[in-house]
Formats: sequence, C-alpha cells, structure tokens
Amino acid sequence: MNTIAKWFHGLYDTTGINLSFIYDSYDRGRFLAGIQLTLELALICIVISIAIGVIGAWLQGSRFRITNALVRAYIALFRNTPPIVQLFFFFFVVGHFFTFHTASGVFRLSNLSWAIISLSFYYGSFNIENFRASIEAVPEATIQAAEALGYRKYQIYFYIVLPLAVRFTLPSLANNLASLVKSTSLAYVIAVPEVLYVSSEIWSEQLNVTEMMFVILFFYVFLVGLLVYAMHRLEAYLRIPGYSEGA
Amino acid sequence: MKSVILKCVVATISVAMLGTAALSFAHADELSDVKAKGTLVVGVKGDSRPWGYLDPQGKPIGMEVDLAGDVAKQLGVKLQVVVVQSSNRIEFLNQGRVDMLIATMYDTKERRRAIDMIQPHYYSAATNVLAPKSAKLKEWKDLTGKPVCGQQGSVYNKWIEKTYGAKAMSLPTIEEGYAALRAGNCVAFVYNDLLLEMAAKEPQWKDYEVPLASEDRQYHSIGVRKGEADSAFGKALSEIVTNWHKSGYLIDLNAKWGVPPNSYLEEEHKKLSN
Repeated sequence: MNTIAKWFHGLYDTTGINLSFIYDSYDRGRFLAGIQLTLELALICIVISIAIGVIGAWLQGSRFRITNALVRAYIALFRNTPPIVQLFFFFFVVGHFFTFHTASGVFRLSNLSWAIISLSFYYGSFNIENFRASIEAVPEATIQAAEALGYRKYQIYFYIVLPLAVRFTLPSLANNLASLVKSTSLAYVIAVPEVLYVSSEIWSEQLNVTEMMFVILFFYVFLVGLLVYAMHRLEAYLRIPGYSEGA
Repeated sequence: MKSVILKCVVATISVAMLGTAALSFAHADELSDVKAKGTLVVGVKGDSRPWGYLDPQGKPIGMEVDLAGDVAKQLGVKLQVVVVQSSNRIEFLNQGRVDMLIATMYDTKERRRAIDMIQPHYYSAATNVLAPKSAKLKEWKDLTGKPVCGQQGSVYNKWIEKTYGAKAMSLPTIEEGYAALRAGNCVAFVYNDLLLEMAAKEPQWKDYEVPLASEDRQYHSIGVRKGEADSAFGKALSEIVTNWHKSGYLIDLNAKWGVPPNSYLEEEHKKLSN
C-alpha cells in the first residue's frame, strides 16, 4: 500500500493529477466509507422498493375498493413528485414533526433513514405499476387453459400467472433499478455521506474537481453495469425455451 | 487499430496541452487584458450575508461586492459580479469565468496549490457554532460524536471533525444548513464566528446562541489565477488591499454592514498607519 500511495503522491507532484483518495489515508477512509454507504443504500432501497411493488400490485388487484384507492393515491403522490423534492420534504418538514422526546432522550430518524424511505417509496410506486402491468400481460387464453385443466384460483395465480409475470417484468424492473442506483446520489443534498457527498468533500479540500468527476463517473458506470449484467443473467436463467415473451 | 487509437489520444493530449499553454500565455498580462476589455469580472458569494448576498431583486450586494466595486474603480474599469459557491469558486477562476475572487475565501495551503492568494489578507474570521440554548454547550469537546451541520465546501466541517471528532453534516447552502439545525437534525451549525454572532441577534434565532470561544483563526485573501500574484495585476491588487487597511476603509465598511468590530482590522490599521 505504501509504495502505491507514494507513486500516486509522486503523480500529483509531477503531473498535478491529484488522486488523494488513494495516497491520503484520511481521504481514502472516507471515500471507501462513501462507496460502502452507496452500496448499502442501493441494496436496501432495491429490497424495500420491490417489496412495496409486490404488495402494492397485490392490493391493487384485490376486490376491495378502499385498498385500491389507497394504492392509487400513493402512486399519484410519489410518482408525480421529483425525488429531490421528496428528500427535502421528508428531511426538513416530516423530520421536524417526527421527533419524539422519550425518557431515554430524543428519538429522531437520521438523514440516511429519510433517504431510504424517500427513494424506496419513490421507486416502489414505479414497481407497483410495472408489476401490475406484467400480471395483466399474462394472456387470458393461458389462464382459461389452466381453468380447463381444473386448476383452482390460487393455483392459477401461483403456478401460472406469477411465474410468467415475473419474466415479463424483468426488463422494465432492470430499468427501474438502474435508475434507483443512480438516484442514491441525490441523498447528497441532505448530507448523507454516500460516494458523491464524500467526493465533494474531497474536491472542496483538495481542489481536484476534474479527477473526482472522472472517478465518480466510472464508479457509477461500473456499478450500474454490474446490476444490468446481473439482471440479464437472471433473465437468461429464467427464459422458457420456445416461449416468446408477451406474445 | 490500437496504434491509431493511441495516436489519436496522443494528438488530443498534445493539442490540449498546447491550448493550455496558449491560454496561459494570453493571460500573462491580466491587468492590460482587464483594462482592454473595460470590465473586471469578480466572483462573489450569494449566500453569505453580509459579505456577499442577494438583494430582493436578486442583485448581489454586500461588503465584498463593495470591495470588488472599489477595485474596479481604482483600476478604472466597469465591475461585473458573478455569484459563485464555496464548492465551485476555484473552478470559476481557473476556467477564466471570473478574473478574481472576493468570496469569503480563506488563504489555505491546499488552495495555494491551485490558485494565488493576494497578500496582504483583507479580512479575518474564526470558527464557532450556533446552537440552541437548550443544548447548553460549554466547550468544544461537548460536540464530540454529535452531528454538526455545516455548508458544503467550507473548511469548518473538516476542522471540527478532525479536531473535536464531531460528525459533520454538510448541506448545499447555509440556508439549508440552518433549516437542518431548526429541524433538529444536528445539535449545532458550524461557520465563521462573525456571521453566527450576527445571526444570533436576529429575532428568529432568539432561542439560539453562539456559546463557545472562537477557535482556528483564518485569513481571507483575494484569489487570482496561478502565477498572477507577481504580475502587474497582482501587484496592483496588493497595493489596493494595503491601502484599504491603511485608510481604515475596511473598518468603515465593516461597520456599514453591521458586522461586530473585527480586532484583526483594527490591528492591521494601527500597524500600517504608523
């Protein structure tokens, strides 16, 4: 590590290319912590937003008018507002009222929690619509064929509809999740120390804006590339030979 | 194929380097450039009342805008101000979007690698925090391990983290930092002592105070591009700043904008007028 650090310090002295997050231990520590937080934030939001999508799509398909209306209202609220406005709203407005004074001290949610809530709810609303569309895309004839074979309603749902819907939804889900991973950088505005935030801290001290911009760009290209690759592998794994999707 | 790509890369880099060289050559005499175009473009802050902020019409005003105006007047050119932020001001200067910075900028070692700092300094401030009276802060150590709000791109955040182990939480602008403090997301807001002392006097901050003894005194400089401090432009600026201290102009301006008396300005005035 020491020789690498020395080499990059030399690079700075000779060429002016300042990659302080490699040679400076303080910068390296916080840059790695930023990457870790970005990964955590992305992973948690992916899990919660998919859970919201599944539950929401299920509620929307149910017979009860009230749950139907609630899900529609939720989608209208979260899909129709920019995520950055939501972050500010949650952090500054909701956060202010969401403070409880208990015997053991003051309880309040951290900025990271608000970022998780806001981004999960935002992308969850897109997932609901995605999943609903995929369930509706299962051909009526396939369901009728299952009925003719004597399948019960729940059997049709679990053995016929869901397995097909999951396959239909993967391409649009991949898009949505790629967008989610990139949007974790918005948490920057409420001071969540993810990778963009720590980079801005580094460049305001080291004044290496150009270098850090390249580093962040390549980091996201790599991260989203990895996600998209994994989703493609999943799609290929789940492919039904001879069944062309949606046809 | 590979060698073609390599050649292209080498060619691009050479052109870029030539371009930079030509650019720095063209800027060798900034003073005559400024006089030739008849306008001095100065980067000032838009969120640091009373040094540089926006009036209700969105026009930048403040002590540093006055200073920029005085520089332009003494150089015999028109003034054009550009609003910059702490996090992007050095880029504005180095990309040539502004001729100089008077933007509440401290003279630090790191910044000196990227730009030149005009000597003498024209101002000075130290670090303090604004905190609710209910927090009952007595000393800096009370902030260890606690979330402290700040503004992105300013030097106070790293200082408080490194010196007292507070958890700095930097928001894009001062206003958002204040909002986070009010919402209770942090126990204090760290910034320069003068600004915070002025804020604490305002009615909306009546439940807040500036409880600690200021630390980490720093000095403000006019920023110019690398190599320009020794040019005719830099020398002219240096002379102007010296005269500001000598004539007491800075002390008057400090009072005009309602800032508490600044001991640094008094000392410099005394030193230079003798």
